[in-house]
Amino acid sequence: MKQEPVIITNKLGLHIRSANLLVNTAQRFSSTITLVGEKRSANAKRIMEILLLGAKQGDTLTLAVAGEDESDAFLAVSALIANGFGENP
Amino acid sequence: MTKIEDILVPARVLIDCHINSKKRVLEFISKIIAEYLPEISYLTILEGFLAREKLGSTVITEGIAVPHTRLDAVTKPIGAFLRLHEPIAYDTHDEQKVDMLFGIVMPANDKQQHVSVLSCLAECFQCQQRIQRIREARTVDQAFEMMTLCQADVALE
Repeated sequence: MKQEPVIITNKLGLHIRSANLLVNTAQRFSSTITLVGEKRSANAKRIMEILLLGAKQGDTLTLAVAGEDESDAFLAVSALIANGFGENP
Repeated sequence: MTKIEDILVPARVLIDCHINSKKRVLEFISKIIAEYLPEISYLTILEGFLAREKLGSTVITEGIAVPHTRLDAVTKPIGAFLRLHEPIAYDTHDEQKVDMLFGIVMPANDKQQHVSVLSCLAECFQCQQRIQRIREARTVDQAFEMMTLCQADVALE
């Protein structure tokens, strides 16, 4: 299991488009990928759960990845978040 | 935390709409919302919706889409809900069919609010039981009530 804090950097936070990108990325891996917020946690393969986090720019979440391809999955998801989902900062 | 009743009133809820194309549905929602925003043309809203749809799907769960746009001239989020008589093709690339739409116009400068509104909609539409009740509602008031009930009460209804 790999677990580390990640900071949401894009202006709009985890809105529908960024959540969709997250789901598409997460679904490429067999590992269980979870984002943990203050009040709840979300399966990164389910858009509704991600939206429920209501994560805004500047929020810190914990990214937890467990499974056979956890190293690759962790890299891919954390890079996507760190790059602000390719949105203008 | 945003609540559904902060962005929706029963007057902007329509059920059993006979509309059979995505473009027409978005146009209709734009017109409903524009009635409450006298300084904004429905075309501005429609263009915003269409531009956003080009970027990617706004379907958040099976059968439910949340077309949205952010405009400078808007001071607080405003939504409209439409339930269609028949599901329509919505996303050509993944052939999703949609029968309920929650359109929202949000202020462009309040970026924090954007996620708060989306999170509120996710809260509402995460529950299959609630979605079923909204699909079965016979009146606008019933549909509105189902959308605004707190989660604990949905199970009891």
